[in-house]
Amino acid sequence: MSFWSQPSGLRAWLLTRDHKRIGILYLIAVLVFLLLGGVFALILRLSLVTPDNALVDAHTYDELFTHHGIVMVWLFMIPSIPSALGNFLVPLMIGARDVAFPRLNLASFWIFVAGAGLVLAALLAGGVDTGWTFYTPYSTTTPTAATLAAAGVFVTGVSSILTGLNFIATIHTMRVAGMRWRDLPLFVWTIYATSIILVLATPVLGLALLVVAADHLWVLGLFDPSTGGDPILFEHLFWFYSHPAVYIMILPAMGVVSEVVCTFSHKRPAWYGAIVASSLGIALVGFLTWGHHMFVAGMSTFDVGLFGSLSMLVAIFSAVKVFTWTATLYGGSITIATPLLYVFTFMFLFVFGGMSGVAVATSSLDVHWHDTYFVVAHFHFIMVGSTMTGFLAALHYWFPKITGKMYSETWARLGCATVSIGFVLTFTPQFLLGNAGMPRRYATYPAHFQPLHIVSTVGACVLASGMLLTLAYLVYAIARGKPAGPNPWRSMSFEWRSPSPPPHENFEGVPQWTAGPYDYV
Amino acid sequence: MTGRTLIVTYAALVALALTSWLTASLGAGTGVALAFAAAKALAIALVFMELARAHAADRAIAAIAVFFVALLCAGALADVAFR
Amino acid sequence: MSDERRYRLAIWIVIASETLLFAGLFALYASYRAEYGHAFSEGVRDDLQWIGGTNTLVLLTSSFAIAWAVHAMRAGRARTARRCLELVIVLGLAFLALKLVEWGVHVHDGVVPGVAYSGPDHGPGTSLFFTLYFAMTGLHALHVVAGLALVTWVRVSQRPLALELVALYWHFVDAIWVFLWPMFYLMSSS
Repeated sequence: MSFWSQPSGLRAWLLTRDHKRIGILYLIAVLVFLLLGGVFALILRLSLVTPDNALVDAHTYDELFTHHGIVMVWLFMIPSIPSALGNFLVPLMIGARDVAFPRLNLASFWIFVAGAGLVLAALLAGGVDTGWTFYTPYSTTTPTAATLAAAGVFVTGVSSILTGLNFIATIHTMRVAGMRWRDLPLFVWTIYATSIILVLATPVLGLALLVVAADHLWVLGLFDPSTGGDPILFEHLFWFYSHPAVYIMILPAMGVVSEVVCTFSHKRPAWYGAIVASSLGIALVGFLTWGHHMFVAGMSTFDVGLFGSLSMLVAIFSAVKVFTWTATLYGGSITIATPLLYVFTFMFLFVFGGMSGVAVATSSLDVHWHDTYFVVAHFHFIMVGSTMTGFLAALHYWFPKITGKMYSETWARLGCATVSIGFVLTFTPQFLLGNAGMPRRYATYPAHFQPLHIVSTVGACVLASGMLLTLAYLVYAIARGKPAGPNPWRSMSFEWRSPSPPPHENFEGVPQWTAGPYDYV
Repeated sequence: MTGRTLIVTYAALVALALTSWLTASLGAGTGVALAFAAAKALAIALVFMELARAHAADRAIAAIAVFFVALLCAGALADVAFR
Repeated sequence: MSDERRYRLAIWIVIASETLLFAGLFALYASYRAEYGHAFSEGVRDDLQWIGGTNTLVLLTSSFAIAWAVHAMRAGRARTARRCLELVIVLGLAFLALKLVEWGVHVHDGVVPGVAYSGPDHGPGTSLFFTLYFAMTGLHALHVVAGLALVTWVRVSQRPLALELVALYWHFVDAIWVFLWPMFYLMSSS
């Protein structure tokens, strides 16, 4: 009897304290929001096929990119890997029965649902047109439903904090007897680093959004120049969270990459300590770089220089990761399979997006690129592309663990190729558009930008069909897939030592710590 | 913490508060007032909250939180002050 | 590992997270004070000094009382612990009552948050000072209310571990006030 069927009944699912079921509930929720955010993106791309925007008017366009951003950032990417897959995997990977606080875990899921409900209510109640960044003073004066949306994001933030708290307490106190910190799987380390960011950065966003909502309701003028307020201070608070939030999204994806690379080269990580240190280093340095979003906002040149230089540090830790991954692959007995193919796409997007990140962190160059499609392309490559390919790699890698079934490798490779080609096709033209001067968040544009916009839209359609294809064969595999066996990838990591799918109590009997997660013989 | 330590700490806190009040009314600057506040907060954290002998992880969490508050304030202040 | 270790770690994470919730307002205060030093130091004089000072002593005493409750509970003196917790509740309510009196006086004088401010004008930044005053003391008062609810629950349930954790939270709420006091009542010279 696996956790899927025991205990049975809808009530047992919705009120479950089983971390695996909560992970599945999150997974369903984030997939729904991925679909929704994707639909917004497709409408945006289709409306940009013609220079004069035949599809939607300018105001609707503003709302669409706002909705796309809010849904994708807070309802898909932030919870995607940590809350969904982290919940399912972390206790299994450290040999625990459950997370440290199972009831809190359930509460955190329903708080997320409530927050998401508020956000959706805001979208229905007239929408929001501030951009996902809620910049003041526009966000405190807009006639649209900014208060409701800010409140919704605040509530999802509470859920994030509780999830982060639960992971930290779980990793500290629930490890199987004999498992030391240096025995932790690399994925668990990245969830740990992510959780630190979740509990420390999210409250600052929460406060900034509370102030925006209160200001919108009661006209406080706290960021309004007409009362002496300073809109740039809002940006400081917003990016103090929202820059580290990028690492909330990408660190778990890096953890997935580390696991997949080790498993499919059947080899120890080239330098375990360096990978761990770079995860924690990214979490820390991620907090020292927020000002690089504000180079042209009117921030002091002192801060521009400071944040510009500190931002470059992230590249060092990122490079450490890429080099240790490639060094792990070198000389390994490599098995090519879909998760590894997604990891290759990840590395391409990450290196390319990361290099463009160093470029935009150079303040003099950023003056040219700021608020253009160049920046849009940069952050989609690094934050969306890397998170999404990491998420898809994880979904394929742990699919047999979660469901006990195997998907069709042929279809999966086709899906991976379609998604990868679609993604690159969508965003590479946007680098060129931005460099040529196309500003972001505009519904219309000069006619000479049209060819590149069309290429980008075609790419978006390819990407969308790849995602739908992936959804289709995975759902088919759940229903009709071949049994995968307990450990199809021959991994040594602890989560594979229980049956697949795992029983309600995770392990049969008391799990025994025998060897590390990468101790291949 | 022994009862004696708690009582001494409480007495010290009240003394610090009263001195802070007095110096402020005599026109002491913002730095003095904040230094008194920091001293009181430190006493509360170390003795009342028992950070002085807490688990290393708890102490690390407290230190990181204080560091991050300072970081946010410094980053914003370095903008306004040098504009 | 023991339940106690798990819960203690969790409450410290909660405290760290809550500290960062206040951090944004501290950063706004620091920045606006750097920009509008005059309005901020003059604004401090408009707050009721005796209420701010008394409330500081009230909260410091309540912190001592809950520390003593923990101390007594560990020594097995449950009765003393209960008396201490009752004292904490009384002091917490006194703090809130004094705060309400002060807010009432402010509102009566037209000192309200936001653009509706019609109190004494100390030049640019005056309304920002009082908006931050209401935001920070208001958010802190909410934490006092939450803390009081927790203390009441501990007084009723008398669980030793819960008492230890709630005491940590109450000390944290006290420590925040320790900083709000100089910011809004003492720092009147620039």
